[in-house]
Amino acid sequence: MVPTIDAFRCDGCGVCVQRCPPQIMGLIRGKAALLTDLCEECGICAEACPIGAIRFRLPHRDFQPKHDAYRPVPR
Amino acid sequence: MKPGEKKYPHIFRPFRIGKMEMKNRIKYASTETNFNYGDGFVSDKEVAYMEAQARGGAAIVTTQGAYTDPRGEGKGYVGMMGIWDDKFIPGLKRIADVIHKYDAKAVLQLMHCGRVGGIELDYTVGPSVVKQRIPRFREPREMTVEQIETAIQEHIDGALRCQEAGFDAVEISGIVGYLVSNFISAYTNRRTDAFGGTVEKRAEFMRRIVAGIRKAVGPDYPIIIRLCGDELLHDRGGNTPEESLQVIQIAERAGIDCLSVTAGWQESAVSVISRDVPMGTWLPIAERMKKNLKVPVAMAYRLFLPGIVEEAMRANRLDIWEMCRPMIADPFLPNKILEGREEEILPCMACNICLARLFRDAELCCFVRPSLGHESEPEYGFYGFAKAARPKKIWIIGAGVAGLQVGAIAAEKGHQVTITDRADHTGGQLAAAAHGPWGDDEFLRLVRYLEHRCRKFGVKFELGRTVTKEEVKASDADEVVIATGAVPRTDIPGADGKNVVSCLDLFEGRAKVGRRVVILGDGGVAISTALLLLHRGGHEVTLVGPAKKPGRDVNPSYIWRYMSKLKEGKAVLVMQTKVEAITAEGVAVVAPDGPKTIPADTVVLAEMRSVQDLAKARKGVAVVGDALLPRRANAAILDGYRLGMRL
Repeated sequence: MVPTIDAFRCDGCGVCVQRCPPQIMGLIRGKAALLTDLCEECGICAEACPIGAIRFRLPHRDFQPKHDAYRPVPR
Repeated sequence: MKPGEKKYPHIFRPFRIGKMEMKNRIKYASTETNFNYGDGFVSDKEVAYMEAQARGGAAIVTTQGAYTDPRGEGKGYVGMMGIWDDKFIPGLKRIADVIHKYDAKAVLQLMHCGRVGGIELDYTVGPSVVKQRIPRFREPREMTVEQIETAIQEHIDGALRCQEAGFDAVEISGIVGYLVSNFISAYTNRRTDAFGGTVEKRAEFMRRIVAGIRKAVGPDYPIIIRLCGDELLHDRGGNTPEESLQVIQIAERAGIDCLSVTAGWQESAVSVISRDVPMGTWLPIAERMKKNLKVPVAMAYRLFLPGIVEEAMRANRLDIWEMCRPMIADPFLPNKILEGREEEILPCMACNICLARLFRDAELCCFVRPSLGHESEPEYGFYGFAKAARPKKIWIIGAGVAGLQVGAIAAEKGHQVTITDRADHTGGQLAAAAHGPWGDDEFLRLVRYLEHRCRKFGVKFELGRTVTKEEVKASDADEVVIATGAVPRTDIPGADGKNVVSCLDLFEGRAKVGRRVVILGDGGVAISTALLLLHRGGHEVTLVGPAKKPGRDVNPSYIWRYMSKLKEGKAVLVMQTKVEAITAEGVAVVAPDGPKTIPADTVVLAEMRSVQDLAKARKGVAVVGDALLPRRANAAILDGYRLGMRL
């Protein structure tokens, strides 16, 4: 899971660029950006972002009754 | 009789836990993955991962811990499975079914994370209010007796759901700082009621859970429990090994069928599972349990090689071989041993990236196996890569791990691959790093694996040959991959002096150093260099670099060990410092307190830069690993894998 950057919120402070361990982040037009091919998916940028503009969350899918797996078990 | 059965008769002898038959004595131990949905439902990704483990040949496959309470207090990982309601049973059943499909026994683990839980809550619970040692975790709230009774009942309900979902046995997690262990340990349990005080009272929470589950599931359903044989919390007032044994004996009397014994807590200040702990270190704990218990004893923790385990089983020190990380790295480890294909095992490097990722709410990840979590995606080639429609001629320059990884995949796809390296051996920087102390020789296992993989699929090696730009330009290869790695930076005045050596030369024994050594660099490479010298002894080591603290690129599970080893060796850290020049006397620097000269007999260059001389020789070449950007070895593997997938 590669982090996604919310360009609408990013204020270009560059903390993520500083903290990224493999140093694969930078600013493009004043917004954070990363080289997805080189991303090690460690999540440190999201942790470092002071305004929460980097999303690094697992999917929170609600119960999907349509999915085969969740058909009720016959009792 | 298969080769493995002959070589390791004890490991592959059928066994039983209670009435549960096991085809051999290997158990995939419980590991969180963060692959599941945030609301506790099992994901397809988790099922695919469990399927991989089941197909690998272990007798028992244990699921990750499932949290038992609807409030989420027991949930310690964002992608943890839930078992607090019947609605989770169908998803859990998918896991049990897929494990059974491949003739393995399915065991579900119940886990309340206690003082390290409540991942999505603004609080966490525990028996007593005791401050956390690790900054990530919070001080817990004290549980009331009513809450304790509820937690016991929730564990029992969880066990019933586990049975209903079709699992062959239930396992209770009582280790490393989770709730059951919080009650057991004198460090975290300061209660004075029925659940705290004496060893018996501290064990009461665990005893009630085991006895309650036994009553609910009937006499024949196996119950396994994971408990600490030694908490390694002596500095914090934790249980003594004698107390731990007493607790385990209480568990045995309460009705368990098998003990999985462990050592250490997350909060222990000593290395337990990292590479600096020699394999088999913790076997005496298992042996002690074997001597004092009637039920079978299982153990994981740095038992990576079958030889060590076979010997322990033969000497009656251990009954069941448990593995987490070695089987995360290679789920097919049991079958490969059985079929006599040990050289094909993808070896775990005990790097603990897996743990670091989990603690940062990321998915489980593996240094050596980028296909982890992608087992169901054919393009990741976990079950083998498909042959390419049009085989290409591929030339890889550099036989480090990045180059070997590209080559192994490309060749498996049917491409015609040649790997050329200047050195007379494969492995590049990782082979050099393998000369480091504290278990770093294990890196060679990975190099050997990758080389074996390349050779198996017919890669042609040209070792000891230096490639020129003209050759790259004139080459008739369809694809040229530059994996030439990195070397230390030399763009410092005086770097060509007689007192200056490269860290790579130092590791490979080509350079001698004096007593006072200044290492230029603040990354992992510089730290490793310092550790190497401190381990050899007789050196005064100083680390100089621009960063605030050294080792930004080092995994958090390792950096604290490294820092404490540097401290032990009295290494001097001169940080936030710019190097101006190297002179015959030492290193001229500008430190926060002004310019000065740090005296040195030898200066070691340990700040790496990419070797890209060949990258511009022709258009369209691919550059991977440190040649692209100096990083850690896991990045080299990841680059190599990602490029290999695209070739």
